[in-house]
Amino acid sequence: MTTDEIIFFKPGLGNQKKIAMQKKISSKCFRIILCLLWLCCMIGITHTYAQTFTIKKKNPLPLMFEVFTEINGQTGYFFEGCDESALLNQRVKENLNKMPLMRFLNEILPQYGMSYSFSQTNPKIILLRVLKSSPLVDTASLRNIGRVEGLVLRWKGGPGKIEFLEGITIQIKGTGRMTKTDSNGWFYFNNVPANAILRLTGVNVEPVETGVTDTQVLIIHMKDYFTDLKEKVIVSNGYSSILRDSTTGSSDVISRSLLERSTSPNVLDRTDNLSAGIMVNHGSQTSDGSSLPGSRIIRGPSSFYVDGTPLIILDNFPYDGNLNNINPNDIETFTIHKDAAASAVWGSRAGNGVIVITTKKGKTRYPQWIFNSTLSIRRRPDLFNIHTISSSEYIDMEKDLYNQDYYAQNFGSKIDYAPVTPVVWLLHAARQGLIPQEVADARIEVMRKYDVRNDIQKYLYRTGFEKQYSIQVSGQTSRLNYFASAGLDQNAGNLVGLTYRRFTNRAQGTFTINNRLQVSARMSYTVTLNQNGNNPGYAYQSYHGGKNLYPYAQLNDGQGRPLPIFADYNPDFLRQTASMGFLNGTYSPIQDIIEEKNKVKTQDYVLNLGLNYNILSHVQLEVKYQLERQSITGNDFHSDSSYFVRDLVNTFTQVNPATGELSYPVPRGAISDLQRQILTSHQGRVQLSYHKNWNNDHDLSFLAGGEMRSVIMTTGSSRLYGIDNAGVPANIDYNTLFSSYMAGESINIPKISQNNKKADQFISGLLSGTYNYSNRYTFSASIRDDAANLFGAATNKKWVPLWSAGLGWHLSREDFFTADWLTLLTLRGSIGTTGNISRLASAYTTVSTRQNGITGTPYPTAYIQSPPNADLRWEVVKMHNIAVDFATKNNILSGTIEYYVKACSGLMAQTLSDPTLGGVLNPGSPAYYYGNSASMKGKGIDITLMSQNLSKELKLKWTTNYLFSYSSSRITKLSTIVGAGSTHLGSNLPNPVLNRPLYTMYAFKWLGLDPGTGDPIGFYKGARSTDWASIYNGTELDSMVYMGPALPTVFGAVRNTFSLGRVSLSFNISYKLGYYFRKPALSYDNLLNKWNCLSSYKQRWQKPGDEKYTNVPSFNYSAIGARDLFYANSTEMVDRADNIRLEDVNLSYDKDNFHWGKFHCRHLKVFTYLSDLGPIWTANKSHLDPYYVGVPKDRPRISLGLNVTL
Amino acid sequence: MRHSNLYTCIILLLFISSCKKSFLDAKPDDALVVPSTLQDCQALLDDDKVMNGFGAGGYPCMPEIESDDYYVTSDQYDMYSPTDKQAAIWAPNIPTDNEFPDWDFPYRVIFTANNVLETVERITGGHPSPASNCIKGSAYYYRAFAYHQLAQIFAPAYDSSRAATDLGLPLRKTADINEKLTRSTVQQTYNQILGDLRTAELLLPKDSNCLPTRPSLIAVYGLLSRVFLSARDYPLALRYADSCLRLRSALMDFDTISTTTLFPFNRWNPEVIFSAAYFPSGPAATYRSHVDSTLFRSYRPGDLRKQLFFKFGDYFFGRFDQDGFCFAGITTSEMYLTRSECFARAGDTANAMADLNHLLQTRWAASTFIPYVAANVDDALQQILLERRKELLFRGIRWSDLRRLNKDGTAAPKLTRIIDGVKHELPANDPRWVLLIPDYVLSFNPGMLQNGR
Repeated sequence: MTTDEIIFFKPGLGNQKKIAMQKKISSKCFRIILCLLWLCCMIGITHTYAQTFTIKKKNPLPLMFEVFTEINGQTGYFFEGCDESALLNQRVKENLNKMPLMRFLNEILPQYGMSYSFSQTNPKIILLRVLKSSPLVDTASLRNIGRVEGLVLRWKGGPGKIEFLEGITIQIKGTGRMTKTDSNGWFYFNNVPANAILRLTGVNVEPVETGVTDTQVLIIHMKDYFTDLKEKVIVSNGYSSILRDSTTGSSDVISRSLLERSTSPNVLDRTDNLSAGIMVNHGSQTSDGSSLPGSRIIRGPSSFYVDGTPLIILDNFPYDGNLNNINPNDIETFTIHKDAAASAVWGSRAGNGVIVITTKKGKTRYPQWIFNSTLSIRRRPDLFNIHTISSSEYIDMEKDLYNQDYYAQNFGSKIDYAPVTPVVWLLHAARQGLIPQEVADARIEVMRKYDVRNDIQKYLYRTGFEKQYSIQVSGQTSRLNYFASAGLDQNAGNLVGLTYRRFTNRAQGTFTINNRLQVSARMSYTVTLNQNGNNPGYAYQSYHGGKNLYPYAQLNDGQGRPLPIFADYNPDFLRQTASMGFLNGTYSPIQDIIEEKNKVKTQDYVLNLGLNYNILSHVQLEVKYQLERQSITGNDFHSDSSYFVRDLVNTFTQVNPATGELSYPVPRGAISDLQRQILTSHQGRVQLSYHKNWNNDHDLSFLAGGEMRSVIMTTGSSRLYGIDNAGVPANIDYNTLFSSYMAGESINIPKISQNNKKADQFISGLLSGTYNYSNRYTFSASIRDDAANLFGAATNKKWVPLWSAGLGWHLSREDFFTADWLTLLTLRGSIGTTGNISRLASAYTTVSTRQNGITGTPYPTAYIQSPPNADLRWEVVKMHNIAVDFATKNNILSGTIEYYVKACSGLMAQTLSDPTLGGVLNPGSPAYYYGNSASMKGKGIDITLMSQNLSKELKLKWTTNYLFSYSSSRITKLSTIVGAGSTHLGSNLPNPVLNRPLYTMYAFKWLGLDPGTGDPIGFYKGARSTDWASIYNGTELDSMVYMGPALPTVFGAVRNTFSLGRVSLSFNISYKLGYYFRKPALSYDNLLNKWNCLSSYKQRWQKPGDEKYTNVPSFNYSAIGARDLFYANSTEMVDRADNIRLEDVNLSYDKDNFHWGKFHCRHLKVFTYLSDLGPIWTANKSHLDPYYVGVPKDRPRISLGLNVTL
Repeated sequence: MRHSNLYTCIILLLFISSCKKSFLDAKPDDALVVPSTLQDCQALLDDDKVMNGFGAGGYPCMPEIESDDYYVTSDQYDMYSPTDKQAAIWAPNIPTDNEFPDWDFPYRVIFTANNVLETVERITGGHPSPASNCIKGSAYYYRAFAYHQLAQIFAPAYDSSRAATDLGLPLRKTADINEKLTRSTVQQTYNQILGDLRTAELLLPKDSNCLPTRPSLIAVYGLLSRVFLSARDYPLALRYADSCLRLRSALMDFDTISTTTLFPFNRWNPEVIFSAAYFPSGPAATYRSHVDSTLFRSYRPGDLRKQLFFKFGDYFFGRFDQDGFCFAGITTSEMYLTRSECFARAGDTANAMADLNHLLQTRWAASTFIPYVAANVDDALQQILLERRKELLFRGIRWSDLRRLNKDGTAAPKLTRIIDGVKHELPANDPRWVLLIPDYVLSFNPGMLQNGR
């Protein structure tokens, strides 16, 4: 074994040691820190449950409900049963230092007009009663004449459910005077008229009106207004969090309850169909089996070749690891930023939109424990949605062809017989007299009854299970905010042998050192183990020649013994090689599943440290650092009895012509294909933020930051041959050209050994600010400049910032706004630019090397492949956004309507260049390079509506959420040469054409079938033609038929939620309209050479006159290939892909505050969730589900879940 | 406390600014081969396919297609490309269909040379070594060679009285793909060429044992001589031809060359000072034209060139190459002819005829050679110019010679070519002696001026 084979990254053992050392040290550090964080959490937990409590003296004195809340936090007891504001708002004068709880209850409480008793069901609940004659405390001394101050909160009598509401707008009715509550829920007005009425409005609370006449410190309780948006909506962009009310940008916040509605282990999957403007491509395989890139596209594509996935920000920093490393249960908020005002702070990487994920923090004064468990089941997929030729038809076809001597070539005197199906083999054996004709016929008749899909379904698939468990604890004390969680996912996939296991662990603590300094640490660790055997399922293709399973193939003999498939070699040939001493060359799909083990282990840890220091009362300094390391190691282990190894050994087995002895250049031992990817990212940020409010009229917040980021990714792959029991690989001769007895040609043993390293290094600076005037007008702006090692030198030197500006107008808060039926009306507009980074081009000269000169000079030579590009930069996405937010009275109908226009310029594309610049490499090929040369324009509408369909008085609630998106784009500038039409047939690839969308559906003109021959007729050079090769290769793009876009242009969802008491039912229906797909086409090439084809074989043209009823070409075994390709890509095979589908159904039962054995349960939720329920309507006449074209259809997934909060 | 924050910020800023440069210069992907060593630069220059023209593109072939070394039959003419057909009859506008190798490939040489110069500068950072000097000198040389080749077809012949206003070539200053181009004047073009060569003269070592695909000091003198000759600066052309011949004077004795070999001359025969090639298209390709009959007849009996240069009648086989390329580089024989011409132009008949005879005695069978004599300076010049044409045919030099000779009236008053019975003419000093800049170049560079018609 050479060092090359075992070391992935840099040869030399010294380096390997160093890497190992670093790994050891860093993982050790990591564990210590994780332990410390857990310890802190535990301290937080043990701090509570004392029987005394302490409230430090403060001025003004604490209010009674504050004391209740404090008692709850410190002792775990909580109060219920009193909602008399007057009693709750009294100030408590007593010294509450180390006050025994019982003394407080017995002696102090009555003085404030209340008595108590312990709850029968839960001794931790203290029930309050109002004393008839309550001596209200005189608080006149605290009163400021004409000054009204107040506190706005939500308190619903339960534990931990108190919340001071920030950002609530308070208006003195009829005066236009306004203010907002501060972060502690306080507000004040000076010189308030005695009979003034205050009107309070906020984003997610029901408006309240209250007089100011009889109380001095107003305590105003507000109620939620949406049933499913219980928390006030905070929009976080990764640098700062502000209330949605004061943003000008376009952002969607997906609440935790919505995230918990579905059960996927991947958080992105959980957000599908919950936000307008995001198109999800999952499942939309094209007929060639590949799926569209960029699984989620926000507001249409922004780039030709850059991966379209949005930038993911996890807890303030871009997350570079796999999103599967994040347990959705740990997530508190999920915010999707769609326009520039919302995302431009992320500059050159924000062009595809930004998704900001923040993890949970402690919220309650007591330790809150949450347990989650979900079990999901999915039955084996439905293979019968793939309509294939029946066994009987296939056998008839084979018999026909056999009689025409079509298979003669397979049985030549040649030593390497081509593989044949059993029917052909039987026919041949009978003709040769090897078996009696009757026996052959009888065996063939039996085969007519088999359907390979039954066997595949039965032996290669199984019922899949997904189990999820998670436990969380969180809480908050005066010094510490903590959250810790652990999660376990165990999935067994539908394919036999496929398993997935994930363990996630997260801990975070924020320590308040003093009133100026806060230190926080966050840590997460995830291990994922993916394992599968060699089980291709339905997608089976043989190693040599890519044959599918023939329709009557049997995988099992019915008695549990796996049967072989002879798709690579003729059984006679294998018998012959076996007699020579070769290894057994048969392949049995069922047997082989366990002979290979492909394990992929992903480990990811993130360490995040932060420091928060209040320099001045308005100025805060934050320093943050994050380290992430993700390692993915894969071992595709092929055991010595796997078909892979046996076949490879046989391929290289050498026969000594003299003695007949065999030798084995590829040793007869196991083979390991190893892969490794290590990603290390360091990110650091210094940020100064400023926030000040003057006279309640002017509110300014401002942020300046600088950050550095370095992401290094090393990848390596290698193959070890002939691993013996001790794990020692054999030495391999890669240089000799071995003549292969099995393959009949001379080949080298494949050597797999690749290493690469990629680095992204950024230095960025940003400024952003929001100014709000009198709560009615908001102005926001941001500016960011990035320099990176991916850009050209000139770009890095220039100051070319990406920027945004936004304006918001709260029309409904204007004095002149009198419409009573409309309680909220806001206009927003924004403009700005973001970027995308392409790796297609390098800013540097890149060269290719050759050993010698072309004239035979002995000097090594090099030639320039791509020119240096000092101006290489990010692609620019400029977006304008206009939005209206509204809500009618009592929120019967509320929502947002947005219109955007998007101009993408400087898109990286093949660019023709002036040959004077030196780019011509060979005559006849124009000078081009990848440069920022193309442009694309897009526009669209996003509508989000919510209606409350039933009267509030009814017990039955019915709300409907509507999402509607329209998105269209076209390429407006392109400086390249458009290739032949056939290069634009792949609808899943970006293939830019001027004035078209990026993903297009082109097809060949179809002129029906020839009445005489059943040949498909096309169009070439202005005339009818059956020269399919010329049509396919020679048709110019201009002469092709443009069918329409290949991505939906109109899409959205409608979600209905019914709730009655504790039971609620919701279901989501999605729609995707205005796009096209290619239907699977009958291929005679597949029929003959791949052993399987579609059932439309039955409908083929067979005799003159058939062309009136069918468009399936006649069977002509001498004309395949181009004829098939023409037919498959003709207009005839394109259809509308529009579909409406029932996405999911969720039925849940909720219960609050009850006793469960010893435990007091604060919240219990039991639910069942059904997903992947399939289409309700499809536009195409063939009733094909465009999500599953030529692939087995997933069955619905059924989940049962339990969520307990203690 | 506030001060300490300030210090922290300052230290952090200093740290960031100090590491910014290297941080942003990190290679984004190891799979990219970015030239970063002197060896890489040398390898770029050693790419003979580009730098010496041994590719399907190569140095310009147009000078040969437009010149008077050949005549063509209808059958041969029919096989030419549309571009070559028009070029052979001196059409005012030669169609190019978005590519014109005569323009594109010399500019690729210039691009590569610029790339090398920038890379060497980055590597050495102002601390040159003999090795880096040699590479830089070579890069300057290649660039000068390519510009000179371009100037002979796309810019008017150098005329000291008009050079400051005549339109020259677009000159590339960098290797960057974003550079905006405008046309220089002929004077600026020649200044660029001469500047490059004078720099190369300082940087290239005197001795080198390399193959002639690599530039040498001798090649610098040779090219300087050629450039000054094309600018009709005869004293300087004489000086540099002389400098060149002092360092390298070897001539092949044609008596020793086999007449049975199809292509008798090796690619790197002893006369080659700098090896460069053009890819013959149209009439320049073998069998696609006949050597001009007057010229063919001028080889007298005893002149070995008649057997060695021509096979199967009047087809040219003297191109130094078996792979189909035509020689466009510099040889000692060219230098002898230049020095001889310049002596004659200076009135030094004796030296002029001495040089001519020194060359011709190697071309003739030793037994039959009788040294040439000249009655006067003019006679000497006429003889020298004829011998120059006979020695240097199909080397891409004739066109340049005709252009300069037009200026002093030494050359024929006009070129004529009869194709399919139609007579085509190119009078001396006609605007068509300068080819048009290709259309696509102008479309990439709005505002770039075209040559006159």
